Amino acid sequence: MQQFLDPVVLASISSLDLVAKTVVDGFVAGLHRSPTFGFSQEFAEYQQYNQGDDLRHVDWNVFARTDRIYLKKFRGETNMQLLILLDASASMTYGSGTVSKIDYARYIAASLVYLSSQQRDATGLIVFDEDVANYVQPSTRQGQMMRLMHAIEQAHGGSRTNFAKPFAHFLQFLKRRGIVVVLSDFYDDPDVIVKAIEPLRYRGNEVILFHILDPNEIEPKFRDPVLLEDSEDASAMEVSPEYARGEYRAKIDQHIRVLAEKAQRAGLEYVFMNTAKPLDKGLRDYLAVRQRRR
Amino acid sequence: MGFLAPWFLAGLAVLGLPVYVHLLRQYKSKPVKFSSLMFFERRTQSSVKHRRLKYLLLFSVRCLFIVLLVLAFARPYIHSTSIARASGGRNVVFAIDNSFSMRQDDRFPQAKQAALDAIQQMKEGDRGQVISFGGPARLVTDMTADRANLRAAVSAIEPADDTSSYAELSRVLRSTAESYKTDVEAHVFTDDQKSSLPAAFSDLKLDDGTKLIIHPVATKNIPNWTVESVEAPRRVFDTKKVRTVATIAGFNTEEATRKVTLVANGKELESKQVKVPANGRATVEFLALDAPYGFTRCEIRIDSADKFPDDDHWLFSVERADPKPALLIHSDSDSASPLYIKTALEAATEAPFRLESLPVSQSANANVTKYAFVILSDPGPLPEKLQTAIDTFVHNGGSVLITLGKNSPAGRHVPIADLQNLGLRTIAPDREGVLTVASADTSYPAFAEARNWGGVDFYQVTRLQLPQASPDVRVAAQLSDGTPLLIDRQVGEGHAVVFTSPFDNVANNIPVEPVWLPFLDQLTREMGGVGSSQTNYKVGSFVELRSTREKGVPVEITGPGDKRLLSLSESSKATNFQFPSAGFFDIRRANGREELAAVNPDPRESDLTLIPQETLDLWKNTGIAPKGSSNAVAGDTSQDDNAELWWWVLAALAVLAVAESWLGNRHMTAETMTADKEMVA
Repeated sequence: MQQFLDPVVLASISSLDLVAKTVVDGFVAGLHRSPTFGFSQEFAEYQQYNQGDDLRHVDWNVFARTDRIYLKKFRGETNMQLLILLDASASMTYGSGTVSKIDYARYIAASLVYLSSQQRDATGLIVFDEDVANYVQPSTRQGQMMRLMHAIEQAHGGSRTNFAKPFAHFLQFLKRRGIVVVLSDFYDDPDVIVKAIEPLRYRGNEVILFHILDPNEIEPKFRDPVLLEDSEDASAMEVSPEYARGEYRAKIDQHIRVLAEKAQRAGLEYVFMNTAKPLDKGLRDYLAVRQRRR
Repeated sequence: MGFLAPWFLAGLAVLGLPVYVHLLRQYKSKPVKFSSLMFFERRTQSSVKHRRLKYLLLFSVRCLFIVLLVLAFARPYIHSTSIARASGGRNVVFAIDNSFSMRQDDRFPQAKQAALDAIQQMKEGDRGQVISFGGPARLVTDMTADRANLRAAVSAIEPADDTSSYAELSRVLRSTAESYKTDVEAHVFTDDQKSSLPAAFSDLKLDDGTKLIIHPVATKNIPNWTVESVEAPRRVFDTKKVRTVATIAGFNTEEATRKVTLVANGKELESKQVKVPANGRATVEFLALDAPYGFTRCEIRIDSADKFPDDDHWLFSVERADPKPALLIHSDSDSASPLYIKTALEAATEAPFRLESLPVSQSANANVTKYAFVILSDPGPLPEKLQTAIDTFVHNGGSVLITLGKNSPAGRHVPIADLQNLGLRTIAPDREGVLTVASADTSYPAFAEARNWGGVDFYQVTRLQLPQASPDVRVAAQLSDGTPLLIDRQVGEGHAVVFTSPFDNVANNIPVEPVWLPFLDQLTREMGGVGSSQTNYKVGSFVELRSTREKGVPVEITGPGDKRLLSLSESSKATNFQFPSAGFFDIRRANGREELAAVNPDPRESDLTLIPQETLDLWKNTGIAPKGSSNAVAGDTSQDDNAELWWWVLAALAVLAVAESWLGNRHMTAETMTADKEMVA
């Protein structure tokens, strides 16, 4: 089943929801776990009462026996809220192979939507470039998954990336705490990126940054000098293979490293994704975060 | 270096193709999209230069490929001229006109002085050659750098009486340029005489690379009167006074009256005034010349009072002699043909022959050698002794006329001519119609003036069997049924002329027709050696001194000033002689005959009209192109000396083709990869 996580194989499937189902079912089957994982109401642990905790969760039987107030915790007692922030800027349309970065991001987003709908999590979507291009409010209503799938499918390369402006809007949409997944190539200064995303974390959200890059962006393979045109601002520049192999690689590596460090320092989960690699790493990281949140 | 097919060089226009592909199309190529350039910097100029350098290398290879391909088609070669040119220095020809017209005023000294000045201006390394072209062009020196030698050669050139020819000069210049395989600078010192131009301008064509510089010694047309020609009999055989007609011509002249004088042996016989129209001609007749026996040196003079007195006289010679005897042998019963023939010969102007007739029965002991020619008028069988004598006479250069009729036996050979007699054919005029002369060869002397054969009818002709394709036999006239009428066969050194019908006014009506007199007169003059003899010549013309059988017999020529003009060996070997100057020449031929030849300059030399400047410019332009260029003279064999380079060009093309494929392949691969990336983006 692992082959269904290969983006090249997924690119041949036209329907996005079918892609998501293929990915998630294959991924879950690979975990040798029940498809209803995390969906039970079994007891998890006792937690000491703190002021302000909801008194409805107090185990009064324990209080009667021990005269101490404990809160009784259950697994999956609450549904999570998942908000997917999909970068649809022009730079995301680049791809050296059959799968572009935005395709890859769509697969991940669709898979997450499908996975969360199976767990009855409220799932929302924000498509942005330099502004908010599309917004689907998190919900568990009937048909939410199809709305999300449609919105993901409609996401296409827009203009340039600007994290500051759209993320200021996101704060208005986030009424509940949950998991925020940001799918982007993060072509900006790491400080600016982290500074824009960090406020999400302050509101008690778990933030996962999926840094999606094409293999040719990570390691350019130009045999000859080539005139490159920026897909966002249309500026052109002649680039030699020597520069691409040397200085460019050092710069992109440093960018990835700095972004990861700053994200971790800010409490953001950072996941680097190569569009030539299968999607399971992204899904695995997401589930690990969800598990931690529960 | 040159090209044998230079028009292929137009293919160099194809060079625009690589220029378009590499320099124009290059800037139109679309850039490749990339996600973001935030990690790229603009300090990549060195790599751009590297890229352009590589493209320019491919561009250069392609351009060079096209150039070499075009060159291969244009067939480049290296002419040996290049080698000669590389040795440095010019090759200068100094051509001096020493024709008769250069005697006018001080033209010739001027020309020589100008030539000496030009030699003085030769630079170090230059080589020169002196040519004179008054008459046949003569190479006075070889191509040499020795200026003293050149100056001496110029000084030694004397004015001549001959005619200059610019066509001859051009031919020599072409030959010189070809001989030395080099460009030639030709300095021509001449009087630009228009009459020296050839009839066809193409004869003036100079070889490529020949630079013509004309140094004219005459600047304007000069009026000139001259004695253009004189008509007088060369030989007179009666006692009458000789009629002489002189033509006086004026070139660039106004109407004027000139005094014309007839001089014989230095004595003025008669003078007349004649009015010569402007630029025209006038004739004057003298009847006072009473030439004594032998040769008379005659001259017509005019008092032209112009600036060219050398052409104011015309020399001619007149010989007075007794008429030569001719022998007619006829059948005993024939009385008509002797009458007609004798009457015709006596009626001729200046009758050169005195006819003696003998019946065949009395002719056995006739001494034929004392006669100018012999006529056998249908005599029938000849006495064997006579036939042998005539045969010997003809073999030694004599001539015999044989007429054939009813007395000539069929089935036997015609004596002397040795032609098979097939029998007499008699025409029935009421059934077949009469025979007429269908064709007559007017180049044959007897038919040169006798051309009106319209009323001549033939009733009896003798048919002969002629040898096939024999060079000795010439059929000069044929009848309407194809029967040969007059056959000339060379026998030894002489001729046997056979007329296939007798002159008796029975077998035909020739003797009573007008054509009879000129025909017989011309025929007998030719046979008697009178017709072809010429005593008035132009400077530069030739005179034949001996026949092939007269080898070793000395001849003698005495020129003006009683100078012997032939050396001892030449006098025994020379077959002809060219008259070098004007004057009287005494000629004693190998056969013992003496002759006084009067030699005059060509009257064209008296016309001093100049060549128009545009004609001179055209002449100069014929040789302007550098040697080896496309307008080489047709049939020029100079290409034989060209080292063609197409083989080397092809070898270079092969190497370039490999290089272009390798570079182009790399270029195409890179572009394909780039295009793929662009499509994905």
